[in-house]
Amino acid sequence: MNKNKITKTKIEKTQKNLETKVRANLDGSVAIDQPILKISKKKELMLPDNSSSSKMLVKGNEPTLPRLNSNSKENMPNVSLPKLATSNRTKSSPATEIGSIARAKNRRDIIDLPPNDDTYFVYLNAPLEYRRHLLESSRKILFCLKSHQKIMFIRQKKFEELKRLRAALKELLYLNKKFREKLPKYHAEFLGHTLKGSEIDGNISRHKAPTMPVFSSNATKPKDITREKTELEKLEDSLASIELKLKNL
Amino acid sequence: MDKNLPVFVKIADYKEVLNVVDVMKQKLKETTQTLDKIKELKSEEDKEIQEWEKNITEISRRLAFIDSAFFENE
Repeated sequence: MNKNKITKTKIEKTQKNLETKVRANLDGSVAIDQPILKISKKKELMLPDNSSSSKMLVKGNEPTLPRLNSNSKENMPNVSLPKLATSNRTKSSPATEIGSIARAKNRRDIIDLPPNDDTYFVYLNAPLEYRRHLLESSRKILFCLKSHQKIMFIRQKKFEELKRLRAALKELLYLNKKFREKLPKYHAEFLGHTLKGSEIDGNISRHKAPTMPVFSSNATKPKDITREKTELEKLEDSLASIELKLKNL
Repeated sequence: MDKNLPVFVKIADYKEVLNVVDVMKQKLKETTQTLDKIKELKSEEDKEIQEWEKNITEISRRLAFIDSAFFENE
């Protein structure tokens, strides 16, 4: 309730200020180059549609204007002044009456929160598009992170496969040696080959066979993979939420 | 002396040799399969990296659009 009261007072104050400005402009005492500012729902200062520029940087701190006395007000011509419209419009408040003029002129929903001092606002023509772009970018970034996780997972799998390949090759080497061992020993000169002394002497069997780990198809996966999967799931969740938001746009 | 004289292998050894050859065949098959899997993984990785690149290009494009929209008046 208090908040509403404060807002109402602020609205009235701002309206009075604007009214004074416009009257002063009509009077010729103060020149206002820019059109009257309206304040959007998100505390943004918005320019009317007839403005030449699509967006404009506006400072929240408004310029001080000379105060008019009550007599000068009476001499003013009777003009309809665009004023700030309220979101909580009531029939009795004067703000609503003037606000309706502004609404009729500019068919946007306008709210009336005065800007904070020393705050700048930028008017964006199509905020929905920017929002869409930002959301799409976030989506793509999440896709990238997902890809990163996938790549890490693939590399881990690849590393395991390479280890398996290395082990298989070592086993093959051992089997090859064994195979040669099983063949009858022959004299080097007999077949025209020069063999090492150890092979001729039958010392091949003295070589110890390397102990190879046997890989089975149903080998247990390392724990790290499960952890990465949960990370992937998290990313997928956030991706789903962003996609839902995009659909709702 | 003729170098192409036949070699005689004991029956017991011969059987063992056959077993060894069988195991070797099996191992070679496994190795081929592993290699295929590695190739597959590599292509998958390449695909992911390509996707990554595509996404990054898209992000930079969108960011450039937003940047131009926000700061073209500067």
